[in-house]
Amino acid sequence: MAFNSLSVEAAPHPGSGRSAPADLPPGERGVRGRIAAVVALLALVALSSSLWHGRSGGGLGGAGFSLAFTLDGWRSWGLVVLTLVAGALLVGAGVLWTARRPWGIVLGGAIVVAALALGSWAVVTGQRFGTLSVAELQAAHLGTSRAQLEQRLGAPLLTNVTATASTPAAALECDIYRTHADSNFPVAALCFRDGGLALKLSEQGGVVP
Amino acid sequence: MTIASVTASGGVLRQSRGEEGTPRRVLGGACAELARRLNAPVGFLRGLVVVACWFSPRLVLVYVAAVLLVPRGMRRWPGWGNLIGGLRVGVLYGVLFAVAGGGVLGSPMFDQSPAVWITQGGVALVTIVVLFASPGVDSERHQRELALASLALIAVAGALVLGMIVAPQIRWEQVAAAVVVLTGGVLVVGGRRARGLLLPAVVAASGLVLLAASGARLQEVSDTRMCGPCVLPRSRPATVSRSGPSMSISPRWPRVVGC
Repeated sequence: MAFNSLSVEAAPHPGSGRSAPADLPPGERGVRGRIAAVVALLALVALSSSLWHGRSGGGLGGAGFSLAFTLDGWRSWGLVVLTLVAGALLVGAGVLWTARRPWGIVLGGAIVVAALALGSWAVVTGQRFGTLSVAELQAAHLGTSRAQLEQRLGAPLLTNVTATASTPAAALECDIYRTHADSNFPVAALCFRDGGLALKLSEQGGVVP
Repeated sequence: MTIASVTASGGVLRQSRGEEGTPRRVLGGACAELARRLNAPVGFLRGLVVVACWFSPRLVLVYVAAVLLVPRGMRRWPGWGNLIGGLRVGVLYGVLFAVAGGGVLGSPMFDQSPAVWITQGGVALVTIVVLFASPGVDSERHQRELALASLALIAVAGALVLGMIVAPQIRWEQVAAAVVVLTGGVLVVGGRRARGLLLPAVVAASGLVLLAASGARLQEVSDTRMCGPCVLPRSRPATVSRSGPSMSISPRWPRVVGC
């Protein structure tokens, strides 16, 4: 057999004298191979976040307006961040699987740790919403700015839901809030025109004075 | 053994995963190629991809991009094999969309008569089985032939859609049947030189069977009215006359009661 028909692709790295799991045959890939596999599976857990709550829809109406909405239980950026986390975990798993030098292993570990930290933060913060009690709903003055209300009440479940009316020009932009801290339903809506509060709707009571 | 590698496991000589060591390609070939490059278990990678696409369907686009863009084997650039992989994914998507998406040709599959859904389901099932069981095409020349023939099929399908828009009065499913028959003739006459047309012709013929089974026409419909059973006055029996693609009923609708 001629030597040039050989490829020494699986040899240990000459500098470090170490091999990556990708260089080794099945059954001999060691702890790092198993860790890389577990990290890849964690990426699936991050991707499954869209299924945790399921999507649920609802609707509100009153004073000639009606609005329909779909909730997925996450802040608008939550699922995007968790998708990025899943991608980072897959990259980290790939680096751990292929790294031959110690700094490569450190880099892979750092990527995984950072992705897990970001994912944990997104899971905690991405599901934290403000609550709008009936008393707060009644106390909100018409004309109050959206920024002031959000600062006082916290993040809404859903923003920029259009409340349609008989004439398209009269449509309002609404923020949907949960009315109980431990559940997404029932909800209430604060609807704005030109940046000021114009209409208050409650799922239970319709238009709130 | 033509390509070998000295592994780190005690200097044991083992076969490397060169081009001929690539795991069998099942659909687009992206997982097999990644498994070859990473020396990773291909089953694990396939499981990851399937579950990830189920959780986040938009990742199918990433998979398709990998199928089309990751060079196969020792190549430096994507080749005809990538295009064939993309076409295979497209065929699977088309079959799944037709059966599970909007139902075959727009209506839920099992709402139709058994004669319709058994035929349609059978054609879809056979297409999926053939797709997954068919061996990969390894020769560069055969890959090129197959890819060009498939692109010709896509061009014919595009021309049919365009024809339906431009000339809606023509029965385009009959034109399509004529094209398939013509392709069969080319296959017979061309022999081995035309064998790249075989798979596209089979796919096209399956599509036509699907159409014929559903009774659908490749004609643009400008207005569709649904009505229940009609009760016609005994004094004025209805007559249905048909002229080309249009149909008229006499007496006219307002005089028909119960519609």
